[in-house]
Amino acid sequence: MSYLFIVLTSVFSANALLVYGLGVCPAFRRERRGPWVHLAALAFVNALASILFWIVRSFALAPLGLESLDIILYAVLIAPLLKYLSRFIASSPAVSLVRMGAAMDEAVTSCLVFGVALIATRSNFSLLEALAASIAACLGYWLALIVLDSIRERLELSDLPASFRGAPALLLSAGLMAMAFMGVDYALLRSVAR
Amino acid sequence: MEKKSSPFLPDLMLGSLVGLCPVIVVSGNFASGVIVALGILFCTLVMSLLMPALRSLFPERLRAPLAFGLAAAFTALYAVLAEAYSPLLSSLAGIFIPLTLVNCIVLATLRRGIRTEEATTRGVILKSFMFFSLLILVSAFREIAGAGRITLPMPGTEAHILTLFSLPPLRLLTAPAGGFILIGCLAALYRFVQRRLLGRRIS
Repeated sequence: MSYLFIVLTSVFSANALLVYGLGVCPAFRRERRGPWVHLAALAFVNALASILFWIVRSFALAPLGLESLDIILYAVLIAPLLKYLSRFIASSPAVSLVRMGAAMDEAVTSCLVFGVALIATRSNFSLLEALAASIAACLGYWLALIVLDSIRERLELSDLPASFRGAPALLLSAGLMAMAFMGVDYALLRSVAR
Repeated sequence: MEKKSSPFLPDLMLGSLVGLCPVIVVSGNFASGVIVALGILFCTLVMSLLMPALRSLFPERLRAPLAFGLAAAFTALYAVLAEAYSPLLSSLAGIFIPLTLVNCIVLATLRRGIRTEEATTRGVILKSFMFFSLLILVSAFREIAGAGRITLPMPGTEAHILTLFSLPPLRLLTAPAGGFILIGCLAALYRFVQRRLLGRRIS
């Protein structure tokens, strides 16, 4: 499978937030995100989780036919390892690294990281394809988040009925965005990536 | 005053927008909605019952990894049971059965169980049942209105489908985009009703 096709698919037609609904809860929370630090943290933790999950599943579980135990291995091996790493990064003196470590620490047990790792591992990708898919999924999530944040700012200035103010209006906007992202179909991406 | 700001129902899904990941995607099909909702209910209930024991047996620094590992074990057990019950429904639910482990409701149960000393089992059970019923209702509505049929969560390898209309009125509802739009409308309705009810209570 072409890497460009995997990247385009993960960003658009299989967008983690708008198509798989991963990481919805933090996306609709009202918080200011430091763009680059948060993106770097998400991409790093996503890539690392996917690689480790792929290795554990392919080399330890699949030969024994124990793939159904992958959930337990993620919880007892990969998540603690990533938590330890994120706390190690957060303990460094540089402020940006502290913020990155904190963002990583929060992301380890989020459905975005585990979900992307599951998708990348269960799609029969090779290790490099899984890595590309996980980083692209993170980019797609970030792209959707940035657009949603700017929509939120516009919505705050709009005259909406009281019940629709805030999250309900943002959910409706996310629905419209999801339609747009799903409109970029696989056939089109395949011909672009060829 | 405290009563005024508190919701009239446990408002996980529609009030606080917590645990929405499976709702947006999986609830497009009734059977997979039921399978995932049961998984979340099972994990939440078992963990809320086990947390007091975990709190009394282990020191604080060990509780979080142990609780997470235990939740993973129960999620894996549920995934195996779901696969045995119906491989078709299990594949329909896809990654959302393993994702029960990191569902916000399950994680909130673990966090609360680790930190607080008081028993919160009753509140957790009430909220989990509320989430369970809402997820099932949303799944039924989305499949009936979006596909004109309902897939029954029956055991076996074949799908048991009950066709209701040949021309479904709102095809978009079965897609994730429809999930976002429906949850947005329900959240707005929830806020509207809450405001009205609280207004009555105040007057």
